[in-house]
Amino acid sequence: MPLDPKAAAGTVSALLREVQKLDQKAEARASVFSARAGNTRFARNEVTTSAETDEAEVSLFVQLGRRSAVATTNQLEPEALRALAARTFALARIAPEDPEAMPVLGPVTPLPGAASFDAAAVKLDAAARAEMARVSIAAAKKRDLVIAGFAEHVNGTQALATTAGLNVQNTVSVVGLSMTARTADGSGSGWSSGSARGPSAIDAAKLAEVACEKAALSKAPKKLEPGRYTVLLEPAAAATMLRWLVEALDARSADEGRSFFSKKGGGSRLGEKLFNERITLSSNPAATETAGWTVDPEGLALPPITWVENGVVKALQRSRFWAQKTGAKPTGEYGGYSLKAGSETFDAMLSGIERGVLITRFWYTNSVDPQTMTITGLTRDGTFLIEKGQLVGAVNNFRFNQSVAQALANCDALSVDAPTVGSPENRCPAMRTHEFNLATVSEAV
Amino acid sequence: MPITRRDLFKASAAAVAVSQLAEARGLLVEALLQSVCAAALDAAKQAGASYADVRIHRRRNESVHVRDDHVESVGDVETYGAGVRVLVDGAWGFSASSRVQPKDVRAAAKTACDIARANAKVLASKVVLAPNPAHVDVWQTPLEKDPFKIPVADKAELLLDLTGELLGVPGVKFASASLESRLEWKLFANSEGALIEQSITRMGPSYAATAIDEKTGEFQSRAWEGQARQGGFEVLEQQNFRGDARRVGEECVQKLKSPSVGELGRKHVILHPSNLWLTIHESVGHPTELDRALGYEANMAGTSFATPDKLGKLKYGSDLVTLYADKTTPGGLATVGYDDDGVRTGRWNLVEKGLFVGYQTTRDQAAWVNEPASRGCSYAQDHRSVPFQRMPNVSLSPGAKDLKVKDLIAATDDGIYVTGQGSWSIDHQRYNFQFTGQMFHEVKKGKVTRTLKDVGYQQNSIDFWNSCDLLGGASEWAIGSAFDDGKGQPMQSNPVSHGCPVARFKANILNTKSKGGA
Repeated sequence: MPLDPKAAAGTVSALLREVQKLDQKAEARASVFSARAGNTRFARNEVTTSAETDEAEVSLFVQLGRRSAVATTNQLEPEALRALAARTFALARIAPEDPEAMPVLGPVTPLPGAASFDAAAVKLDAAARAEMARVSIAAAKKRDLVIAGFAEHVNGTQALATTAGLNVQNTVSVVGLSMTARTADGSGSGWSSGSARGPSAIDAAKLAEVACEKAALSKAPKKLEPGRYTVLLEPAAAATMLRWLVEALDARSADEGRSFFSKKGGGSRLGEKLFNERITLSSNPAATETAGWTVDPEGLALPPITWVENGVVKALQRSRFWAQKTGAKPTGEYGGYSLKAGSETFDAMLSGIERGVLITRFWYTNSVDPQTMTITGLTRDGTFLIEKGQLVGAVNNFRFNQSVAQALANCDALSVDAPTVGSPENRCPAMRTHEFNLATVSEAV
Repeated sequence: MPITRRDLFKASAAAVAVSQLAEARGLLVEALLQSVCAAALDAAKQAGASYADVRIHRRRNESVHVRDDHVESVGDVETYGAGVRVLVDGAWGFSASSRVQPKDVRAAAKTACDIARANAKVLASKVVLAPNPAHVDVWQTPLEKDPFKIPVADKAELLLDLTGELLGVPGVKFASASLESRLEWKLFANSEGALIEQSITRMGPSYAATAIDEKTGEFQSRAWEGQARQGGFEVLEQQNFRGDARRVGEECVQKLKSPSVGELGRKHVILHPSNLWLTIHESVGHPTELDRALGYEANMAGTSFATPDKLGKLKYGSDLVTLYADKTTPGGLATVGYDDDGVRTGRWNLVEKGLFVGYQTTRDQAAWVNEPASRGCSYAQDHRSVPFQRMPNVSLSPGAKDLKVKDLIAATDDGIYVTGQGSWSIDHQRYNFQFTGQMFHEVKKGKVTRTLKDVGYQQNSIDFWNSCDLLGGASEWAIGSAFDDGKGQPMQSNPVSHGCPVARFKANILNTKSKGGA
C-alpha cells in the first residue's frame, strides 16, 4: 500500500531533518510520491502481460548559497534517506554556482478544489483488469475483430516540504483503458480511450463498442489524394495540436527570440490575437472536471489561469527566475490544459463540411520548425472522407505537415462536448479547421 | 526448485568476477543476494509457478546540464529493487518490490502468481518458452574511465568551457551542453538454474548552439553530431567532443545564413552515419520486432509491414543492403552479455543482400516463427518493469569497397548530403517516414556547392532501402544511438545503437518552413 498523507509528510520531514543535521543553513526541498500501480495488456484477443508494483520516488533538492543539486531514490528506510541527503549534499557542494538560483518557497495554502482521488480506484486488482480485457475481447470477437489494449490504475500520495516551512500533501488516483480493434484482414483499425480518477467513469463495453465500430467502418479504405483539406479533428487529434501549443507557451524562449511567440525585433507576442476567437485555453486544477493538485512541483500555488482567451495570448509559462528578471509574476507549472468547448454538436460540425476528412487521432508527431510551430505526424485508427456533410467512407491515412498556429487560426467550430484526453486533467472538444496540409499518403492501417 | 549457494556460485571464474563487481553491486551483500534470489524462486514454486525468474536491478543516472554561462541542473537518480516474473497455468504474472529482502520478494512472487492466475482466465494459448541453457556468468562494460569517478565539478567545468567557446563564435546567441552518465547493474536468476550478473555503463554527451538574425527574427539551432555510447568518459574523447565546439558554433551561424531549400521533389540524399542511424532505427529496427509484426503492440506503437508471411520473400532493400541485429557490437547501447531472459546474446541477419530474413525475438516468441531458440532480445528498463521484446543494435553492413564521403559526393549529380539528427517521424506500420537533420550540403555535378537549411526528406521504407545504390566502406562505419527508445504500455525506455557507413538513397525533398506546413 502507498504511504498515507501523514506518513508521506513524515518521510519528507525526516529527509529535511537529515539535511539540517548536515548544514543548518542549507535550503532544501523534499518530495515523495508513493503509489500502488497495476496494469494489464491484452492483444490478439487475449491477455499478454500484467504487473503490480508498490513504489515510491523520493527526491531531494539542496541549495547551498547558489550551488545546488537534486538526487532521487526509491528507497524509504531511514538509512536510505540519510544516504540520499549525503549524496545530494556531496553533489551540491561541488556544483558550480548558478546565477539563476532561487530560494526555496515558504508555506503555501493549496487552493480549495475538487478531489483528485477516488477511493474506488484502490480496490482495483488483477481480476478487475482482466475483466476489462475480457469485456473488450468479447466485443471484438462478436464482430470478428482482433483487439489489443491496456488497462491501468494508480493510486498514491504526494508530499512536498521545504526548509522554509512549506508542507503540503495530496492524494491522487488515475484509471485508464485504451484499445485498438483491427479487422482480421488488417485493412481496418479503430481506437478508443478513457481516463478518469475512478473506475465508475470507465466503461469497457462502451469503449470497446467505439473501437470496434470504427474498425468495421474503416475496413478497406479508398484512396484519397494528398492535399489541403477541411478536417474534423476528434478530441484526441485536436488535443495533439494543443500539446504542441502548450510546448511553445514559454515566456523565456519567447523573450529570447527563439519561439513562435517571439516578436520580431524583440519581446514576445503576449496580448496579440494569433488564433481564432473560439480558441480559449486554460488550466484549472481546482475544478471538478479537471481536478489536479493545486500546488506545483516547487510549491507554488496554482490558481486558475487562462493562457489564450478568444484567440488572444494572455499568459506564457514563466519560471520564478524569469519572472524576477522580467518583473512579472511566475505562473507555476501546470499539469493539465483544457480547450474551452464550443457550441456545436458533432453532427452539426460534420454537416457544415462540403468536402473534408474526419481524423480520429494522430501518431508520431514531431516538431519540424519551432518558428512557425510546424509539426509533422500521421493519422491512424479511423480516417474518413466527408462529402456534403456526410461520412462517405474510410480513406487511406496521411502524413501531415502543418503549422499548429495556422490550424488554430483556421478553426471555425468546436464541439459542445469536451471529454478528458490522455489524463483526467486535460479536456478537449472536437475541432473543425481548414486548409490542413495532409502532405503525403501513408499506407499504414 | 530452491537454488543453493553452491548452485549460485558453482563456477569459480564467476565467483571471482562477482567479487570484482562488488563495487557495482552497491547495496547488496553476498549472503543477502543468495537469500533474496532463493526466496523469490522458492515462493514462486510454492505458489504454483512452472517457471520463475528474479531480477535484482539497480540503476543510476547522473546528469549535468549547462545553459550558456551557468550550470542549469545537477541530478542523480537511483532506483533499486527486485522484479519477480512467473508462469502459472501458461500465463505471465509480474510483481516488484523496492525492498530487496527475502520477505518482500516472497510477497512479490505470490502476487505475481495471483496475477498470472487472473490472466490465465483470458488466455487463448499458453506461453511456451524456447529452451535455453542455464548460464552462470558475469559480464560488464569494458571501461577505461569510469564516469562516476569523475567529479561533477570537472564535468561542469568541461561543459562550461565548451559553451563558452560556442558563445565566443560571432552570431551564436545561446548554447547548451549536457553529460549523462548511466549505470545499470542487474543480477538475474531463474528456476532453471541461471545466475547472471551484469554491469553496464553508458555515456551520453550532447551540445547545441542557437543563432538569431536580429533583423528578421529568424533563428536556427545546430546540435553536435556525436552520440551516446556504451563505455566511460573515453566516449567523449573518441568523438572529439570538446574539439568540435568551434566548428559547430560556426556552422550554426552558417546554417542561419544559408538559403532555404528551393529545389524540391525526388532526388539523391547522401546520409552520414550521424543521420542514417535514426532512419535505420525507425524503418528497420522497429518493423522487424516480432511482437509488433504480430499485433502485440497494436494499441500503442502499431504493427509492421514486415509480417511473417514475407520472411524470405520481401525485397526489403537493394542487393547492397545487409542489415543485422547484434547485441555484441562494441560501444553499442544495447550490447550486453545476456538478455533479461538469461539468453546469451549474438548477431544475426534481418535483411540479407536485400532480402527480409529475420526477426528480433525473446524466449516466449521463438516458437511463433518456428525458431528453435530465442535471439536474446528481452529487456526491462528497471526492476519494476515487465521484460519484453526490445530492439538490439541493428546495423547496416559497410560496402565491399572502402568508399568515403567524398567518393559518394563525387558520384552524385544532383543531391543533398545530410549530417546529424533533427526531426523524425514514421507511421504505425513503418511505411511512411520523414526526417530532417542538422547540416545540409547541396551537391551538384559531384561537388558540394553550398549549405542549405529547412531540409526534410520523406520516403516509403521499402522504396528507400531499394533505392540504396552506394555504400561507404568499413572506414566510414560509425554508430549512432537512442538513449531512450520508447515502446510498450506502460512505456519503457530502451538504450540502443545503430551502426552504418555513409550511404546514398533517393528520397522526396521538402522544405520544412513552407507557409502553413511543408
